[in-house]
Amino acid sequence: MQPDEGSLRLDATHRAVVLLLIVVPTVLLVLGIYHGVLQALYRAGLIQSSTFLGIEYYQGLTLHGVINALVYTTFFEVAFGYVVVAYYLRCTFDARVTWLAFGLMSGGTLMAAWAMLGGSASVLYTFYPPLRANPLFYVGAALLVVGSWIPFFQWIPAYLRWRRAHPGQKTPIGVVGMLSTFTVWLIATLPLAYEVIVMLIPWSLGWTATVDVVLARTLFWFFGHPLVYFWLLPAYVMFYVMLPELAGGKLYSDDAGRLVFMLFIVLSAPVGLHHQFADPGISSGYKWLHGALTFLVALPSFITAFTLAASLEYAARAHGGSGLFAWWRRLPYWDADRYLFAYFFTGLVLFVFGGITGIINASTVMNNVVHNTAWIPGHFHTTIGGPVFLAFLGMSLFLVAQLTGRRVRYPRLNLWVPYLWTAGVAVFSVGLSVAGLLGEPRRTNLGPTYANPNSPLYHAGWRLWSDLGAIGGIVMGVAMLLFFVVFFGTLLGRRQQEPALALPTAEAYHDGPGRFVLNFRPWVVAAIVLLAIAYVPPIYEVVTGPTQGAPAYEPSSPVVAP
Amino acid sequence: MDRAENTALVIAGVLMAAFFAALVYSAAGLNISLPTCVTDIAPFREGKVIAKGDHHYEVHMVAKMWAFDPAVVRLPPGADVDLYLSALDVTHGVYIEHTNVNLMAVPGAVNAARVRFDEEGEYDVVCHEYCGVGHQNMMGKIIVAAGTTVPPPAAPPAAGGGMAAAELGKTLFQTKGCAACHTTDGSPGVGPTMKGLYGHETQMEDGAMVAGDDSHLAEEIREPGRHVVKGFPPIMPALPLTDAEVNALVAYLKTLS
Repeated sequence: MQPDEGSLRLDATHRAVVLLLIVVPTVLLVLGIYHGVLQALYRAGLIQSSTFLGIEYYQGLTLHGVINALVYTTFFEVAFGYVVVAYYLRCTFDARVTWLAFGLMSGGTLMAAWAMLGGSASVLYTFYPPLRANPLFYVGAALLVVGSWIPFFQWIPAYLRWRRAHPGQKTPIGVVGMLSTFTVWLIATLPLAYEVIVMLIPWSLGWTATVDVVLARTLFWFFGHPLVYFWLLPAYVMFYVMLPELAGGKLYSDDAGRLVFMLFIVLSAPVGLHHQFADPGISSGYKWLHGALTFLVALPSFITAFTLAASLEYAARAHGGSGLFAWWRRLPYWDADRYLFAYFFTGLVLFVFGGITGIINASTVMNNVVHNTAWIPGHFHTTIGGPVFLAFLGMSLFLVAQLTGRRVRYPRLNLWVPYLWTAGVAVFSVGLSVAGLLGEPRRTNLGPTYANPNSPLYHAGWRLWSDLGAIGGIVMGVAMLLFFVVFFGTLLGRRQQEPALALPTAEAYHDGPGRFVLNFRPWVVAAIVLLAIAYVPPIYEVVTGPTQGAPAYEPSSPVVAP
Repeated sequence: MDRAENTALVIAGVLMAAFFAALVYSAAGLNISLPTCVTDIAPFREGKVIAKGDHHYEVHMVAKMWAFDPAVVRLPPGADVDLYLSALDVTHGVYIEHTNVNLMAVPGAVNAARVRFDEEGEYDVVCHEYCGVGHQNMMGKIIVAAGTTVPPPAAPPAAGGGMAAAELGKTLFQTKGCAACHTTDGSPGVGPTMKGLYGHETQMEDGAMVAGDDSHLAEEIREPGRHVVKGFPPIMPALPLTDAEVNALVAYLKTLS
């Protein structure tokens, strides 16, 4: 598992591209975070209009979702993938292909950003036909996705070359994790590409009159759930490869990590109907099947919880920790040089709650209580807004510092970021979760009506919990303000050493033969078989069913768009 | 993987299996179901409440930008309701407070749920899916009260009796979705504000000045496309309103002058 030698100097192209892939979406993230905080204020009734400083609520919600959940994550993961594959396999890639990938991704992002900022694409990141956006929004999204496929096809040959050159050796687990991540991404984005390229782009251009909304929803959530594992798996790579080393210990079990990544390849996609439990046009039997499979996909996260806790315990005991629980005190929570530990650990604390609420969401009939209520954003701010976001933030800072040869600016301030963010998310998510159980809807500008005492729609019972949401949202905003100061301060600081990569890499405590987890092929085959079982029948039902197509509507008008 | 790990994995598996068994019990034993594929009824465009006898009612609900039809459903306590849901334009959601009804309204498909209303009271029907700029105005009501009959006795609000015209107009302004685009406090919205409209001339897109009197306002409500107020897009839909309802809306606008 150790790299062949110490630190690595990336070639000029990949150093530049990785930095751009991190810095560009971090700049956009300023906008995404701003609109996150604003939503919390709208929803608590602190803003009671439809527009604030020139941006309408749903336009801001679209920016928040697209930038934070699609652009920032995809850019970062491509950057991290290049770093991990190059570092552990000691390989280089064709610079022209890399630039092509970066060009497609950033060109697509610019198109979509232009449409969203101009107000012609307020359809949220879930697209939601028959609400219609500017065609450039869909084209931009397609280019971003297609661009992100390209690096994967640079990494696969590098991996195969390494395997041939190192017979009998286990592939470094970080590389296994990133290849799993992008396998999941490729599986997920094929139905999305079909929805966007075949259905939405011609329809938004007026070439086709109607769109099959039930099919579009089914294809979207075919993408939408493996998407969350696309976010989660790079964080798992950091947790398995780096966290035990940062804690001063070893990874409890190497094979467990490999099994987890393989299980996600198989189970992350055939579960998407659990987003559509409340939908018409799909038989409930298929929904139950996806519900059951979603319970199975909880297993690799249970394994992870055990393995990581065991790894941390090992590290703490190695540094004098003792007792049944007292060993928790022997971990480097407040070490400015090992700030990544704080970013990773706080994310895992949030993920305990994210995992439990996720199991509730997957629970078929229980979903009746929480579907489309504020409970759902309460849940996913403890998953993508918890371990995923914190790990990506910490690693962005780490990579920018190493690749530019700078030291982290304001190291003490930096340590506050993950703890403050976690406190903010805790308050925010409690507020939203309880409000959701009381029926408060998500994706809704509560300010002018439900949170406005002068409106006939006023809901006094939701108010306290929306106020908690606003308090949490403001704390999250302050945490991000500190992060931006540290991040851009570091980026714009003075070079202090030669730029070189050195990723913290843990040894394994148990390192078994990994009999069934060394080869991707059987797992990919299993994934395809399971996908066919889970998705062919419902899609056949939707396509041949009695559903009718729908014409296009602008979000601003209840009459069919011209 | 060592023994501790295998043990943890088995415990996790047993836990998930127990959870799933609980779900199966809630579905089979407690009769809580998931929406399924409905094929015996085609998508419909008009809402209605049908009495099927013996406390059994069928509610056909249409979700549209940005109101429910019917906006208010009145039922007696103990009503067993078969709810059918259709979307007229874009995707909407339906969450009926204090019940297990939580449905998506998707254009082109019919959704369904079965629900019983035992307690008297007002149940808010909240649209929980983003459906355009007026989404936060989209709420209906189910009012369960003893003595309610379906269909309600035909008693149009006569002058001097029942609800005053302006009061009825205010209710219609909310329930028919007008409030989604038009404010009543002078602030700008998707459409022009209704404050001060009555009794003042308004400039139209073609330059003409139109008086804010009873006949012109009634005409604007009936045929929104004929004249469009300067500076606003020509997007207001014509609603199927009775003469009495149009007059009530105008009476309400009069109170905002």
